[in-house]
Amino acid sequence: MSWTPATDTQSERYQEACDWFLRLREASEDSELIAEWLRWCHADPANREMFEQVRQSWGSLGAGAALFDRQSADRHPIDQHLRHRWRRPRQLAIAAATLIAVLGAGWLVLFEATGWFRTSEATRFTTGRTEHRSLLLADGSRIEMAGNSQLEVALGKYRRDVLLRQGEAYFSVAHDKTRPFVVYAGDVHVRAVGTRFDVRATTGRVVVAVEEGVVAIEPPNLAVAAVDAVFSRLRILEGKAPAGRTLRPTPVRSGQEFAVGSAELEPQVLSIEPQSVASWRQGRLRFVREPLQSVIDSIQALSGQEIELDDPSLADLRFTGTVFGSGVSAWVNALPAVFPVTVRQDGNRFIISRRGESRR
Amino acid sequence: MRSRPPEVPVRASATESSAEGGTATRNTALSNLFIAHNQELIAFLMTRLTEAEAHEVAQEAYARLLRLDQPETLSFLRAYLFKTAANLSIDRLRHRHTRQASQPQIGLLQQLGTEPTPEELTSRRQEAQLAARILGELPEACRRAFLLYRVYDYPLADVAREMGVSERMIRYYVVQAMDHCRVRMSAERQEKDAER
Repeated sequence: MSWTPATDTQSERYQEACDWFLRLREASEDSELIAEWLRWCHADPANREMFEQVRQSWGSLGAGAALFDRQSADRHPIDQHLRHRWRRPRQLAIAAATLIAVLGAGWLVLFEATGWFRTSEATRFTTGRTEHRSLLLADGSRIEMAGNSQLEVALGKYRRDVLLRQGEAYFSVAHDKTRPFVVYAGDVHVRAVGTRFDVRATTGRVVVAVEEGVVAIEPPNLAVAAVDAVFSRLRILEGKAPAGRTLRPTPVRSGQEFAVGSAELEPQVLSIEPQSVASWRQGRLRFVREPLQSVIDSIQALSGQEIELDDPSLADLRFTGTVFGSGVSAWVNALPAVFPVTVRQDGNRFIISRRGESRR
Repeated sequence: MRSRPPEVPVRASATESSAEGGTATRNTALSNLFIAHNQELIAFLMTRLTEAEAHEVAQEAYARLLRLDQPETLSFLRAYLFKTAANLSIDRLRHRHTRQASQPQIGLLQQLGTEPTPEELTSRRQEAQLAARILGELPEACRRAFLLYRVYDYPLADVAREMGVSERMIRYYVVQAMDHCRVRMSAERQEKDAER
């Protein structure tokens, strides 16, 4: 090998500690191995310290390794090919899932043709910035759309599906046990039977807040492929949650909010006040630890006020609080009190910069 | 050759064999065991579990030790402690999935307690970017072994089978990858500090 790894004076001990770490990770109940490790720990306090360092770097390298893995999959098709060779079981599962999805779609089309399984055409609705729109569906359910939103509705005999492509909507679902009501947003779907909840889908992030009843958040599965067929775009099922995460089925109850997105390491469930759900309908926006970019998207949809972050690292600052649609400029001007930012106005736009490096 | 450590004085006094002093002796022995080895036990468990899980499992292992009938010698107790903890941790890993699915509230409480601040998130992201860049410097086989083991969480034996080399070789690759990251990351950090 022409390549030589970087080493330093600590390398010998670090590598030894690292080797112990791996052997212990793999050990089941090998008493001799553990006794030997304990002797090594006691032989020199520096050994024990180094072991601790290995343990920490093992944890902290995880995010970097996952990032590298994602990036290489995006950038180097050859690498991706190689990578997939090592994931044969998963690949097989994807192939099987795809096959079943295609069969399922065929099944849908067949029964659609015979009229036995009637799925209506998907109907598309959009709202412009600052526009609100209320839809009354044929089943008695009501959807209230926030500004800058897009969704599609397909009511069938056996199911009711809504695809929230972008933006935010509040759902008041008419009770009908025989026809599940499912909202698809990003990589999650929200299943509800007679309940009231709000779904917000911004770039890479989905937030579901429940006012009344229970919804089930589920990871993408075959149903998504089938629904995509209904919404006339058969997508090959990826078989995994975004960003190397596994999304587990999660019940979300009245007074809870579920959030998943690139900023969260894991999906989160937070407590909220049920009466504050979808308060955008009263011209108020309420956030709990919401990334700043997402807050700004919602404010723009509500008030039309243009706000720009000139440093992408600001997008992940977390904002908790209420913003009034009528008081957006007051909110923006108060930001420097909460975050390390400065605000300037450029025509109709507010521009938010990181404090101390506004000129770059 | 690794040298033997000084034995920690854990074995309790002469009452060990007397019948009425048994419980007290064992409790003393256990508390000595705890003092001498709790850190190691936690460190051992944290090679595979989170910190909170490691403490729970350690507690359970001590509880099982307390239920033993006869007082035993230190070396037995110590081996029994680690063996029990190892088994408990394997059970824990096996049930991790179902536990998390059925108890979302626990996850919520943990998250509320340990939620990162925006600054932490930013610095974590920067660290991740740096680590990703440095992983790019590794030769392909070494990197692949590391990614399969760290990201995809394959057992060492499976990585070895996939790559068609020995387990020892995979362990060597992972060790090299980690040491390389450590050295290069500390160099980059120093460089960055020097710029300031």
